[in-house]
Parts: sequence; C-alpha cells; structure tokens
Amino acid sequence: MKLHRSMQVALAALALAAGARAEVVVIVAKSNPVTALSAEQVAQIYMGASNAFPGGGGATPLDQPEGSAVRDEFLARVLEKNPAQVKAVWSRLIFSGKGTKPRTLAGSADVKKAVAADPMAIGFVERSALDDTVKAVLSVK
Amino acid sequence: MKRRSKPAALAALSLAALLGAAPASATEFELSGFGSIVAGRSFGACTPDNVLASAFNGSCTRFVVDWGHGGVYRNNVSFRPESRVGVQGTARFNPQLSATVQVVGRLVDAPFAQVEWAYVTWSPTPEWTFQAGRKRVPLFFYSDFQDVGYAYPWIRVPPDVYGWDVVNYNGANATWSKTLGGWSLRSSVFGGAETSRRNGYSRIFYDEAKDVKWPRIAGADLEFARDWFTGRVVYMRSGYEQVDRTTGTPDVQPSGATSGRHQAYGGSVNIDHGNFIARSEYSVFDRSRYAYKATSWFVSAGWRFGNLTPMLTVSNYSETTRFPDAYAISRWSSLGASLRYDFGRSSAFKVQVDRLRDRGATPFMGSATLLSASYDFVF
Repeated sequence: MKLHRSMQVALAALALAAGARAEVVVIVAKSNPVTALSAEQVAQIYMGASNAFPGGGGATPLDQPEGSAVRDEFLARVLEKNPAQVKAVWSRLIFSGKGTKPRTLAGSADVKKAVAADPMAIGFVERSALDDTVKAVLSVK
Repeated sequence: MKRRSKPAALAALSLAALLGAAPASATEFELSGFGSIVAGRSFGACTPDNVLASAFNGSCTRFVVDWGHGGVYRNNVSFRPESRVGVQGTARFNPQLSATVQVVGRLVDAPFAQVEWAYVTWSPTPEWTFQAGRKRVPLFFYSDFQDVGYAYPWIRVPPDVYGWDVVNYNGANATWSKTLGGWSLRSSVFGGAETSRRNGYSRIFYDEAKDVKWPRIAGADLEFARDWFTGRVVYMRSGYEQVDRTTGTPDVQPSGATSGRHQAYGGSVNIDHGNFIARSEYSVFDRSRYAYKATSWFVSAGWRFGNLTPMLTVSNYSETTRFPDAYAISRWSSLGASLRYDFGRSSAFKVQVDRLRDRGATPFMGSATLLSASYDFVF
C-alpha cells in the first residue's frame, strides 16, 4: 500500500515534469527563404554534417548556454543526443579542422537578435520567447 | 616548443600574410583543448623480448598502443605511452578565412610539445573548403581526431588498424560537402609530403634513430552519412624511404631497394541507432613491392546506458610478403572490452582490458593482456 502511494506520487511528479517541459522552436531570419526544416535537417546543421540550408544558403548555427533548460530540450528532442554525445561530436569537428562548434550566446533574447540580423543564422528558443522578429521553421513539443 | 619546426614557421608566415591581407574587420580568437591522462600495464606469460628495440627488452610482456608515436606498455604501470594534452588556437579573420595552430604535448615525445597542426582554412562557399599547412594524414576514420580521447568510446583507437609510421604531413586539401537527398556527403582530395624525424614508429623497432620520408602524398576520401549511419572510403599513395639518422643512408628494404611507393585504401562503417553504437573499419596498407602488404580490421559494438557506454571490440592485423627470406611476417588478433563513464560537462573516465594473441610464426610483440584506465577531457 505504501509502495503504491509512493508510485502514485512519482507518477504525478513525472506528469508534472512532462507538462512543464518547454516547447522548443527552431528559428531563422525572416529574410531566409527556408520555411520549414525537419529535425534531421536541423541536426545535420548542428552536428557539422551540413553547413548549408536545404536551398543551398550557408547556415551558421547558434547555441545556448550549457545546462540551460531550452538547450537540454533542444538536444534531447531535436538532435536526439545527450550533452556529452554532442560535445564528443563537436570535439571531432574542432580538433580535426572539419568545422567549428556553434557560437554560444547568452540566452534566447540574444539568439533572436542574432538570428533576426543574419539570413545565415539558425537558432533555437523557447516557444514562449518566439516573436515576429524571427521565423519559426520547426517546433517540437 | 624549443625548436621551431619548418611547418610552424611556414604557418606563422602565412598567418602573418593573411593578417596583412585580411580586411580590418574584427578578428575573433578561439582557444580550445583536449587531454588524456592514461595509465596502463601489460600482463601475461613471458615471451621473447629480443624483437622490438632494446628499450622494450627486460619485460615479460609488452603491448604497442600508439604505433605512430612509439607508445608501448610493459610490465610496469606507466603514464608515458599515451598521456597527452593539446591546445588549439584559431584566429577567424572573417566567416570565410581562419588560421589554426594545434600544439600537442606527449609524455612519450622529446621535446614534449610540438606543433602538430598549423593550417589556414578558406571556405569561399558553404560547399567548398580549402586548407593549406600542416595537418593529419586522413588515412583512417579516426586519424584526424585520434588524439582526442573524449571524442570516441574507447581509451584508444584500435592499434591493430591505426598503426602507421607517418601521422602528419605538410600539404593542402580541398573539401567538398553537400546534402543530397537526405545524405550528408563530404569528400576531400589531399596532397603533400612529410619527413618524420626521429620517427616514433621506427623507435619501436630500431635502437638507431630513423627519419621516415613520405614524399608525393596524394589521396582522396568520401564520407557519407544519413540518420544513424556514417560510412567512409579512402585511398592514398606516396613514396617511402627510411633513412638512418647517424649515417644518413637509406635503409635497404626486404626487396633490396632503398625506397619505394606504397598505397593504402580502406573503408569504415559506423552506426549510432538510439543507444546502439557500432564502429568498424577495414584497411589495406600495400608495401608489397618492397616489403609487405598488411590487412587490418576492427569491429566494435556497444550500448549507451545513460552515462555509461560499454563496448566490445575485436580486431585483426595480418601481413603477407613476396620476400619471405628477408621479411618475417606478423599476424595477431585482439579482443577488448571497454567502459566509458561520462561525468561533469566535458570529461570521461574509461577502463579497458585488451587481450592480444600473437599468431606469427615468428612472434613480434608476443601475446599479452593490457589493463588501462584514462581520464579524457576537452576545454
């Protein structure tokens, strides 16, 4: 009985946590001709497998601070990797001369500002931070 | 860095030229690095100790882990064969142009720290990248990041495959990358030359210091990735000569020639499907015209349990020769089990046990078991 109750509590906590998870949107500049991207296309750009948008325009990915909730969500649900896996992939790019890791900005406001100003930029922010200065190309719940 | 090597000076020159030529826009500097502190020792029944250079005699067993830099474990715990630290600086003049220098310090090397990479990168379009300077010979899938332990699941890339005498070169490469129908493609052609002074690989075999020359390096590779799959094929050829440093004369090869040409080709298949990981590579190194032909492969598979990644690896190395009177061929196979534990934001702890069975008619390093542990980090 006691176990049963503690399980109920755990389940409730899980449900709460799931509900509290931030929705993440991937954004580009309004002047960027791209209108939608798949999670895989975004992952190719962020993991250094591609440095261009599907239309051919150069893509410059932007990152958020390590450990931030929005970044953890983005990694888990768009890249489908944990932070250590992503760092291992970026380490390869950096030290083999095959690429660079995305530039890290201070937070969603900075990401929006940088994306709005650069048709090559791509970033991610919480859904709640989305506004009409930028264009959402992918949204994951 | 007591010595200033030629490539470093070259890189500094081209850097200076670039700085002069670059527009007065803000240059961004990035500093990053990696390191591995590795300890290990070999175990097992005593085998003849008179095949490797005399530095490795006086030990019951020995285990070669880093051929290119002469890293060999013996019957005593040592940090020397593999521990290393690398620092890389990149100056980005504009989005298309950058210069990178990587200094790597290895306990096994003297002098300790050397400029191993120094190159300029020019990316005029998203599809094309041109690099010139000093880089790693991209012979195998892990060649150009085999120093970065943090980037792969084991303590080291399987030595049975990653076993050649020249690891870096001076030259240039052109790389094309493109996404086509869901596939990410990256292909490069590279060319250059290298003289490896006091060669680390030769140090494993000879007491006398040797210089190994790979003139006229030319090669190409293609990497293709989609979803959970990454594959790669490569072809490379170059000249070859080994020169005794004291006498200045080229060593006579088993064929009787003092120099020759060799070629290498191979492929790699890698899978990252959910928590399942598989790595494999096949390579042929053909020096058959003057010495031997070596075929090697490894297959490794594992599963990611959160922060823990156990892997099992089998590998094999075998030679054939046209000159059996002058060259004793080597053959061996290995079995390894490794466990990686990720902790903190950018470090990993690993333990690994490897068992090598020397199957040669004339044993080379001899059968042995290796126990090792590492702490890998990036910054």
